[in-house]
Formats: sequence, structure tokens, C-alpha cells
Amino acid sequence: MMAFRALLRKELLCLAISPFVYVLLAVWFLLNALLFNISLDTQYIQADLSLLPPYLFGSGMLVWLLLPVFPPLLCLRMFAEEHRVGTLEPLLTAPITDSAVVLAKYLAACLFFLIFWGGLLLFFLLLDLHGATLDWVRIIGGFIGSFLMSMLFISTSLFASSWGGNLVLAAGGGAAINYTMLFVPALFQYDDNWLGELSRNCHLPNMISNGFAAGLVDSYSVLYLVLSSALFLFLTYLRLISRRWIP
Amino acid sequence: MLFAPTLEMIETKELSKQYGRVQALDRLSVSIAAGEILGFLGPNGAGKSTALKILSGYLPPSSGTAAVNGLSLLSNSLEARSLVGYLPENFVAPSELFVAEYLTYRAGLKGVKPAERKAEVLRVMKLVGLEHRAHQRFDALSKGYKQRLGVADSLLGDPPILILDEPFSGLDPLQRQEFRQILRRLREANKAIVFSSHVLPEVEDLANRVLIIHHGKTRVTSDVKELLDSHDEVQIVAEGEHDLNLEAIQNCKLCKDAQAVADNTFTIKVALSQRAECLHQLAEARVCVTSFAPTRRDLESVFAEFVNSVPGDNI
Repeated sequence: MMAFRALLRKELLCLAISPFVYVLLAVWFLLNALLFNISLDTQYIQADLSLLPPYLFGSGMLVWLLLPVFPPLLCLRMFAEEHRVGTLEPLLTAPITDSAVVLAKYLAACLFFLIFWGGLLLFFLLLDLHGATLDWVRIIGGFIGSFLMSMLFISTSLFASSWGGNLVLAAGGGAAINYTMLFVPALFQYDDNWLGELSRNCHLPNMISNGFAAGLVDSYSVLYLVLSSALFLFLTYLRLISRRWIP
Repeated sequence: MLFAPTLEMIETKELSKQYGRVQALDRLSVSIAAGEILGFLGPNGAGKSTALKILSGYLPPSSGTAAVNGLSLLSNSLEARSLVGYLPENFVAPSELFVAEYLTYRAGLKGVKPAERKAEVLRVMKLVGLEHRAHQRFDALSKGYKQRLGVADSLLGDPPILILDEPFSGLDPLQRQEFRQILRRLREANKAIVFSSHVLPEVEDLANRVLIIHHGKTRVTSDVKELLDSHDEVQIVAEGEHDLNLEAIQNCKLCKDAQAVADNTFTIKVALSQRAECLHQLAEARVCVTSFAPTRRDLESVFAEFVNSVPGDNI
């Protein structure tokens, strides 16, 4: 546990002082501000502000364009960059379990991603201060759902980052898995067969817009997101221990 | 974990490693006791770093076993790694962190209690002369100081076993001298130390034993003094017929690798303990020896001899 805490603290510190992370944050906030502004300009949202959380958190461009890309960029440094520059060797020869390495890096990325989402909450606070009538249950629900989805995307990104020292492969691989999880269910969701049924059950934006951001916390969605994250963390763990076990 | 030292702190049996079709390490068997320094020698690509990576727990062997203090590096990896301080060949620390920050983080990883971390970090920084660089970032350090940081990292938590891959690399002559002193003190503190180096005088000066590998194969494992003694050359100057003298010397059972280097001047190899007997045999063979002068060889020339003796390979 002592080694886990030491690694978690170091990961958070490295994220907090990395210029690259601040560039990511700046781009994220800028694009989010633009999307927020565009959403507010939409007529049907101006007519009913309670539709803003499902749109912004679930079906808008934020989910389809930005969310699959930012976690892989944030997680680049976690394994791929460490592998490339050579800091992974001292880490993996220290007396720390591979599971603790994966969990410490994952937790650090998740905690840091709260800052990304915190900015979006600030936009809603600004609206509130300007006298808008907001449904905070939907906003907080959307925030929780989006954060759970981010946790899933962070776990896939960590997995891609663990493939080796190629940064393009790590970022591209993570984004590719995330886009696959978004687009494949969207493509087949209207089919009248088992694939359609499966796609409807795995459709992440729908889980957010029809569930969390509508103020409904569905245990199926929570379990789906948590277990999927656990699956990718386990795959990352397998990748890591394979270094020690596969000759 | 309670540390109970065994006689053999590091032990490998038939350790092999293959990268695809390349045999990086071929059946390495060696043991290192507490209080012993083993110098790991070999030309570039000989398999030194591969062997040290396996001993540090970073790489698994393709076959064979490796254990530290009786703990297998495969089945008891975590416990085994807690006994080892490891310096990789190209040591790198996160560029964003200050020296003291990095060492504090590493102390935490190595299980040093929070209340003791500051003192432990200060101890290792003082040991390697880094205390004045505590608030510099890794990127701002010179190569020598980066190497010192790597050494300080390996000493954190006072591990009983040190595995150091090219620890003298990047150090200036004064730093090397200081580092040799540090290693000697650690040996006196009963640590088992393995280090690889291309600086053979350092190895000769420090190591109790050397292991020379080439193309992954062990060429020799020996006590340094014994190795040098057995490779000492003796120059003989004789009187009389050159060819007859050469024939007599070549027929002498104790004279190895007899060669004529000038008229009636020959070199032979003979163990220190057999020199009197050798001289006696030469007298019996009617060689009139006027000079019998041992010439001490250094580790560098012995190393070159071992490596060059592989057909088709030269360093």
C-alpha cells in the first residue's frame, strides 16, 4: 500500500507539472466553451434548458468528438512514454506489484480528469449565476455518467499505452478502441436481431442522455461502465505481467 | 520483510535468454556471496545487460533459474526485488521531478516508512555527493550527476544486493575514485555486488571475481587474482642454440604457450606456484637460463585474450 501511495502521488505530481497536460486542458476548455455556446444558441435548448444536460453530456459533439481522444492523450505518458524514455525499467524492478502500478496510474488519471469535467460544471454555474433555471439533478447525473464513461475511456487508453513505446500507437490505439465502442453500437442499434439488441445495450451516449443526464441512475449502466473499465484494467495488468512471465 | 542472509546471495543455474533467434545468454551459472563484488565483463552485445535485467526481475529468462537470497525471481518476484538495488544501463528519471522529489518517491516505492524517508534520501544523497543538487530537475543535471542519482536510487532502503549496469559510465576520474570508495565500503558492509563495466582497470581494482561472457556464453568465471596469476607471462633469456632451447621449452610440461620473441628470448605462461619447478625442469633439459623474469599482465589483456580466442571474433 505504501508503494501504491508513493506511485499515485508521483503520477499526480507529474500530471500537475507537465506542460503537455496544460495544453490538453486549454484545448479541452476552449472546445467545450465553443460547444457550450453553440448548444445555447440552439433554438430548442433555448426553449427548454432542461434539454441541455442530455445534449451536452450524451449526444453532443463533446461525447462523439472530444471524449474518445483526450483520455488517450492524457494516458500517453503513463506507460508508452515511460517505456520510450526508459523510466519503466526502474519502476518495474522496484518492489511494487503490477496490479498496484496499473491501479495507481489509473486512479491518478481519473482524479486528474475530474478537473476536465469540473470546467464544464463551471459553465453551468455561470448560467445559474445569470439567472437561468437549471435542473441540477440532470446536470449532476450527466456529470456522473460522463465521468464514468471517461473512466472507461481512461482504462482503454491505459491498455493501449501499455502496448509499447510507440506514442502514435498508444494514442491512436486508445482513440480507436474508444471510437469503436461509440460507433459500432450506433451503427447496429436499429437492427432487429441479436446484434441490434446487443448494440442498444452497449450504446454509451444513450446510457448518458436517456439515463444519467435525464436524472436516472440506472444500475445496468453503472455496472456496464464499471465492469468494462475493470476488463480493460485487467488486460493492462495482463500486458504488464506478461513482461515478467513470457520468456 | 525480515532479511535472513544466505551464503549465496545471488544464484543462477543454466540461465538462458533468447530474443527470437538470437541467443543473448547461454546457460549462465554463477553465484555471488555476501561481501563479494563480481565484475561482469564482455564486449558490447555479449549479454551482460540481459543477464543483469533478468537478475533485477525486469526480464524473464527463456530457461534456467535465477534467485536472490534463495528467492526465485519468477515465483517470489516481489520479495526478491525488495532485496535488490538496481541501476539500469541507461538510467533515466522523470524530467519533471527534482532530485529530492524523485528519491523521496523511490523511497516510498521501496517501502521506506514516511517518517524515515527524508533521512534516508539525505543519507543516499550524501553518500553519492548529490546533496547540493537536491533541488535541480533531472534534465538539468550533468551526465555524471544523473549517474549518481541512479546509484543513489539503487542504494535507497539499504538493499543487501546491488546490481549495477555500467555504474562508471559518465563519471569523471574523480567521481570514479569516489564511487570505488563507496563500493568498497558497501562490500565491507557485507553487500553482494554485481557490476558490469568496460573500464577494466576499475574491475581489476574492485572486484573479487570476474565473469567474462561473449556471445552469451561464459568464457571464464574466476577470482581476479587467480586469473591474473594464471595468465602471467614469464620472459626467459637463454644462452646457446636458439632452436634447441625453443624445442626444450616447448617440451617442458609446465611451460604453456611458449613463443620465441627474439633470438634466445622466449615467453611462456606458467602459474606462480609452479615457477620453481618449471625452472628446475628447464635446467634438466639443459636450457641455460640467464634471466627468468615474470611480467604481470593486466585484466585488459587477459580479457582481450579470452574474447579474441573465439574464432572469427575480435574486439
